[in-house]
Amino acid sequence: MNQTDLRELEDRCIQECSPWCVASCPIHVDVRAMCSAISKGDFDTALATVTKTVPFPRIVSRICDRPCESSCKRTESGDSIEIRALEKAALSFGSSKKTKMRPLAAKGFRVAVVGAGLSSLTAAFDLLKKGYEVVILEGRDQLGGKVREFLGHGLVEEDIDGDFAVLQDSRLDIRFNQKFGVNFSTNDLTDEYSAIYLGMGDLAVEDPKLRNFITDLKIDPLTLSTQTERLFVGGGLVRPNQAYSPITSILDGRRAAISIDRFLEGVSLTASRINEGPYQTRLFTNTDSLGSSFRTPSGEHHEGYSSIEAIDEASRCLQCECLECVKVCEFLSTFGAYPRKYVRRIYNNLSIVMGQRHGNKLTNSCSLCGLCEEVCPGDLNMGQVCRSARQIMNRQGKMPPSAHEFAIRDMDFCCSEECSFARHQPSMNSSAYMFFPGCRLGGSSPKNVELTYKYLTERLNGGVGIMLSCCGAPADWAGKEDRFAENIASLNSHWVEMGRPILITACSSCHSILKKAMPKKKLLSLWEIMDSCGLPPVRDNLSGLTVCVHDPCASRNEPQTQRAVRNILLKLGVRIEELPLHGRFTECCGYGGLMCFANKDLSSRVIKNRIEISDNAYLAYCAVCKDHFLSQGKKTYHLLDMVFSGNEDGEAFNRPVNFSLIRERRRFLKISMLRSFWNEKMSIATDYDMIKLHISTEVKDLMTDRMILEDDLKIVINQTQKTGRRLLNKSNGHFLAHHTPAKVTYWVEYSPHEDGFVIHNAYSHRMQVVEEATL
Amino acid sequence: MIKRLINLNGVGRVILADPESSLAEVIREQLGLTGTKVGCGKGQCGACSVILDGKLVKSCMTKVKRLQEGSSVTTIEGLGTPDNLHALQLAWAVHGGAQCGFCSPGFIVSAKALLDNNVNPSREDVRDWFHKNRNACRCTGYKPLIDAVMDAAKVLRGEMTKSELAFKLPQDGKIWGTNYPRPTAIAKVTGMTDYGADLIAKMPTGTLHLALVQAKVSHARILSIDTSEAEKMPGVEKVITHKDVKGKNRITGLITFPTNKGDGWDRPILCDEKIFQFGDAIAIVAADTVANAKAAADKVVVSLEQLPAYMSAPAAMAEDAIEIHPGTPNIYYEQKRAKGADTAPLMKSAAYVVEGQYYLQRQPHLTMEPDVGFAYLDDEGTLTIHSKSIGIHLHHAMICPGLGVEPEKLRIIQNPAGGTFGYKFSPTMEALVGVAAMATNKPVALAYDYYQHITYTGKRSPFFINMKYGADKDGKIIAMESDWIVDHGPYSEFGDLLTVRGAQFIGAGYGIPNIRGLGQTVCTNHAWGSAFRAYGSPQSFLASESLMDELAEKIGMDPLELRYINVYRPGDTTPTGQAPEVYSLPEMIDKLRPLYKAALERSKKDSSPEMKKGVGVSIGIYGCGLDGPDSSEIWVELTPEGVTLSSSWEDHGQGADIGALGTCHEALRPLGISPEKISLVMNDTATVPNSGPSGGSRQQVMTGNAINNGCEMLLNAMRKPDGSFRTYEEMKAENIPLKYSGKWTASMCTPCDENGQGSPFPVYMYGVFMAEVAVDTKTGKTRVEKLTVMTDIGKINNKLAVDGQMYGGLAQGIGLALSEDFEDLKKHTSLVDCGLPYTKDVPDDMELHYFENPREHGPFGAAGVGELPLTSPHAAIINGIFNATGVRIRQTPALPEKVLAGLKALG
Repeated sequence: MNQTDLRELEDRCIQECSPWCVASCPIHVDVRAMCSAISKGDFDTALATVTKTVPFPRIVSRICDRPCESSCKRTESGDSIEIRALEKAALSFGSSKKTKMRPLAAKGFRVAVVGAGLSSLTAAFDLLKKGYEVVILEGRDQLGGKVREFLGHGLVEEDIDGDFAVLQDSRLDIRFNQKFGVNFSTNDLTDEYSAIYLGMGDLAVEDPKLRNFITDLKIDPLTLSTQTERLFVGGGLVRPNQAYSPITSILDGRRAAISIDRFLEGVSLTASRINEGPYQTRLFTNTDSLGSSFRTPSGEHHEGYSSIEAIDEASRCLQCECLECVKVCEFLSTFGAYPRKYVRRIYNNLSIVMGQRHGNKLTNSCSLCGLCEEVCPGDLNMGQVCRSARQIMNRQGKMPPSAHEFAIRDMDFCCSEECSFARHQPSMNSSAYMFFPGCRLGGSSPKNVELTYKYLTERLNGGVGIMLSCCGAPADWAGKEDRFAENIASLNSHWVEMGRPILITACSSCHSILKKAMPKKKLLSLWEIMDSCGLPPVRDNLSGLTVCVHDPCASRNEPQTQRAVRNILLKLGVRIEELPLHGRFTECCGYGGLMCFANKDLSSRVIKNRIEISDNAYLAYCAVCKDHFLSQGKKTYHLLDMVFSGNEDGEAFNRPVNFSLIRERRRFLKISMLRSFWNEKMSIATDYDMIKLHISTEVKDLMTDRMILEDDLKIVINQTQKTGRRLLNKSNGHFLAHHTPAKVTYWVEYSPHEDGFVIHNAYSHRMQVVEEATL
Repeated sequence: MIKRLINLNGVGRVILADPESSLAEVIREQLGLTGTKVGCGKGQCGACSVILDGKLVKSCMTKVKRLQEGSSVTTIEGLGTPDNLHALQLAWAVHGGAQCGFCSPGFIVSAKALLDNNVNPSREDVRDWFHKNRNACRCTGYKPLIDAVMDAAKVLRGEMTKSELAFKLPQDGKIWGTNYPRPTAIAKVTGMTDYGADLIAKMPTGTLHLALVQAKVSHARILSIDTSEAEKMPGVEKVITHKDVKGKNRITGLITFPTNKGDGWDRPILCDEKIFQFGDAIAIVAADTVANAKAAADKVVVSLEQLPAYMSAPAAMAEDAIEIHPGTPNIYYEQKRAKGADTAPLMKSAAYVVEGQYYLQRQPHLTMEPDVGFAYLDDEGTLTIHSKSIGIHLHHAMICPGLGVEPEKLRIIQNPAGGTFGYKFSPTMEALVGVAAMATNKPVALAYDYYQHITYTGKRSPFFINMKYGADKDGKIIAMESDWIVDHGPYSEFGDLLTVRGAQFIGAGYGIPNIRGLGQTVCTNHAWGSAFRAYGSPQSFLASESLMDELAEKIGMDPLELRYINVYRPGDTTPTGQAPEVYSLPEMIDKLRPLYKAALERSKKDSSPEMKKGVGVSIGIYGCGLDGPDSSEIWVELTPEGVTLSSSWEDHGQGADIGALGTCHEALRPLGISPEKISLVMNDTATVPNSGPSGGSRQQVMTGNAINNGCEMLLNAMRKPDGSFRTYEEMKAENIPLKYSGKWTASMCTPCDENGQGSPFPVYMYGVFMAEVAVDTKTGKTRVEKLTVMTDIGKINNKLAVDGQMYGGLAQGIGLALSEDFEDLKKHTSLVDCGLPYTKDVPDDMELHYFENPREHGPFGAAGVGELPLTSPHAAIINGIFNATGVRIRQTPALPEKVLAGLKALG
């Protein structure tokens, strides 16, 4: 990921785009911040927000033509926020702290500003701030120009005086009764001043010759420069036939001041001037469930809102923002920000040469489920960002080994001789199909795999082969590209050996991985086959049962699979309650992307949130989802449970399986299938296999929690028995032994018992995924 | 070409030279006598002083055609030799006159010219002489140099023998805590130390000389770079642009905080898309000679679209300012400080509230030696870079990906450095010569002239600080609010860390329970912010120590007594919520009090309407270390000759050699070996472990502890059952390892969190400064007449080095208070124009008092020292100006015109 990629990704997240009010305001007053402050009763901050941008706030809060209000999102259901009235309230009830910003050093140039309306005075004000000397040449004898026409129409003299007081500056020279074309000419100006701003409004030009001069000016709308060097034009002059817009006049003055400053500095007039003036924002704010609301009436007095009324009115502001993804994702909300910031953090984390790597946990916590992309108006997929960051971390050698080590070892086990194999259908030499149940289904329920295989061989012609192995998802999720490629190559060679059969998947993760990694293969989901080939006879009557269908996140883009699952349920007579997030918008069970290994707490919260949505039992068609929900006590069926047995109290609701059991079942599955389908006997003898362990339920729970397998303990004890390296605790006669088979050190507290060993405690030095400092 | 037979150092020598070349050039490059140094090249530093026909001249400004047939020239090489030092050279070593040592040859030759004419000068005569002859020193604060001349004169007059003058090892053989001269002093005072430019003069033929094509504007987009004309110029080997850089072409700023809105990769080695500041390097010309390289550099055509340049933080923060690094906001880092309760209500209820706005300027480092470096591929193909780097391992990491070289194929070596004071925390030169060596595959050398040195090395970052104290009726501060804006220039390099320093030091010294504030780091187009001695604290203390006086004024209390009731006492914590490790401020103020009263008396008595006198005080504190669990590693090895200590305790001139030696000798005291038996291997990534950078007064603590740790291991290995020690031979015979890695980590420390709370440093240094000033009310010029400093830097390793650090730091504080600045790119381009203090700008009367409270986490109780003297002496001076005149200077430096304007405003 380079800086260009980063910028492109950041750009997709629109959370930081301006709200509509701000974007449509010619000078971009931060209306949202102002409303937020007022809603909290903090009028000081509200005032500071206004005065930061608005040069003449009293006038503006009285006569602004308020383009903001017509663009306000609130108007989609009810009235716009009374923004101008709130500005007025900020002025009335807020007091300014007067944190004087040091004026910049004198620039040594004198600029003429012709006219004394809002555009001219804004230009003068901004130029003074930038360190220029300014001479105002005004045809009449007072400041304000058109503004004065509003006197008596909401505007009072004190507003004008108060606002123009900011212009008291030793570097400003105001000359009244100086009529353009009468008392001075353009040539006079160009002779005398470094730059000139003509902002005297259309009325000021009485002389037809001058009128022609103005008409002939070619004014660049971006910079307000003209074909005459040093001459800049704005305000009413450039919009002779348009209604007067005070706020646009202010924009003109501001634009001209920027241009004049740049011109006198000898720098580019045009560089980086996007978003000056009103523009279209890219922000998205969901208003689907917006109730109507109407403007707060102002009380009896005509001076605008009381502070209480202003607070009420400001509280109606939606505080427009996007956060569509954060609203639906526990991962994204856990880290306290939103994708634009996350992308930067992840990128910074990758860029760090020396120093604290604070982004490892963030990068490794995502389930890669892709829901964010589905809801994102800019189609930003944080899963892709995190996955590629993990790949880079692996390539850099900066991935903490602890993050995914367990899952990768588990995957290695699934692909090992102990539990993987591929066969044609018994007594056949070729396969038209090949069932790929995936590693987790066998680990969760070997029986369901066998029943399914039997079902398939009965329903499909041409031979149904089988392959027990892992699709490689853990390696893909962990960003271990080499390991993943190696696995795919191995699957592919088996598939070729089997005569290139059509693959039937029972697991959506396998399905999506195989679809992506082996794009030219024909893939079918088991559920589509079951839907079209008919169901086996069901033993129990399921009608009357209602379940919530939890679509696995990997099925997000497989609508036909999701449909097939629902068809099957209907055929079984089961009623379906759709969860708010389902189908294309389904969420992950907390396993995807190896979240549960890298961030167990987060994974637990994800599960908890998901299972609390409905009191009905859940229906999963991914074994991991089922096991995950069960682990927190949620009654969850796997679809195969219903298809093959349908009973309510059987295997479906057993205690959640632990890792050792999963491993046992996988091993058992191979032995059992070889025996029952092919009549083969498999002998697997590892030197530790014969060691017998006695483990209490408490210790088993502990082991699950600590991701320790019975095999791990057997290996330690086997090793210890050989070397004799162990510590004896004299008080209770327990041995303490440790061993490091790969990256993790396992510690076992045990004592010999009858034909085996009693395990009293087990722990491992599997470091948590902590933020690591590399120095 | 001219030919002259001259008498050089007492020997007849023939000179054949271009009449227009400088005497310095001929002496150094043609005659090979590199003891004569060239600093500023403008006659403003005196490093090149030689005696020509009995008269002191600046050899850099003297054309060789001025030599007559038979002229006599005396250079440093003509004075004494290491075996037979001239009295001045010996006195220089004994008084710590050579710190970085770059100015020493010039000073010594200058002093000789003085003593040749007047063997019995007064101290004032000596000061006048050095001042008049513009012999400049940035390290020592001049006082040790005057001491040295006075003693040398005694020897020359026969009132003292050289052996009486020389340092004598105490009876017990202990050098810890003594005035043992630093090991490198002899080479420095005899002109034998080879600094970067001296080494370049000695590089083999075929070495390419580099010239930079630099930006003449402060902010622009690069449209094109045309090198075709330059390539045709005589002697040109290659014109190198960003296209020739093999790696990422970025120097990483090593962002330290995850909330940084930048990514630290903002600084090009050679500009590719944009120019970010004046002087930015756009291309490098490699040619056979410096002159050819420079001539060709002028022919490189760079076409630019100029962009608005933001020359200060407020300008870059303006609503309409464009992003200097597109995609990263100009305010790219924010650091909150929040300790205790919300301060807003406390300020409302406080008996006294004072508020002030302060600005501390962009202080230039003004080292005597301009930046210099060279690089080559060694015979194993390793890119080897020699520079003034004070963080060789740090810089290795910062430039390696940018260059595109494998880490194990990059080696960085520190040359003897003619002063850095922190600017060499930034690896610019290293990357430039590295790129050139890789692009040409030949040895390359680059020496900045002084203009480049000033305009294209980092500077102290200005702070704009708004702050407020709320105190109860007794003057006890109950709440502090502070907002500080850091103008860090265009490159983020440690800008976040510097901003955190504000949270750590604004208001430090006082047990203030409730604090709120926000620091912001701002990207601008003025000089990039680099480390500078006392990093972040002079800015902080200008505000908090000035406001302290303003609070005293408001309460009507004596400023020293107001401090006394507020300084840390048991139960108090620092602004970051850390409990101080010692509480020395009350005893220091107790000791200062009578001196302060006497000074006030004196100033009252001596004051006149024309010359107003006053006294100002301030408190200064600095931490030793980099935030959090900083660490260091060294190797110590028993050899047949003694012990070898390997470390990367880089030397600015502060005395890394004596620091390492003193600590090692003390740690090995049970062995009873003499200091000469300890050999130091230093500052080469290929041969020493990572002891971390020399900055933040960390080395004496971190590396000192690591040395102690390594020596303990060695001693344990050598110790026999009877308590005596094995010899080298015995160790060999018993097959006991000889080499030990000593390590130390400040594991008790935690970096500051988002509220600026933590225990960032294991050890702090404490000081109380008193300045006596005189203000000329006609001119507005301020003179510092005396400085008195109470300081606790723990146990002292080497008294000579510590005194030298103190005097030198104080002199820099005077410059900071009164004259130094780098603001105007047209004006501030030389030592004089940047306001360097010369001899008479620094008082001869500087009184130091040490309070050696041992530090639990310091080796043998030591803390660091380097930063302390520059934490806040300027604030004492500023407070002194107020005490003298009633003029409160809130924007440093207190130039005469500012003081005058203040006097005028008072009427």
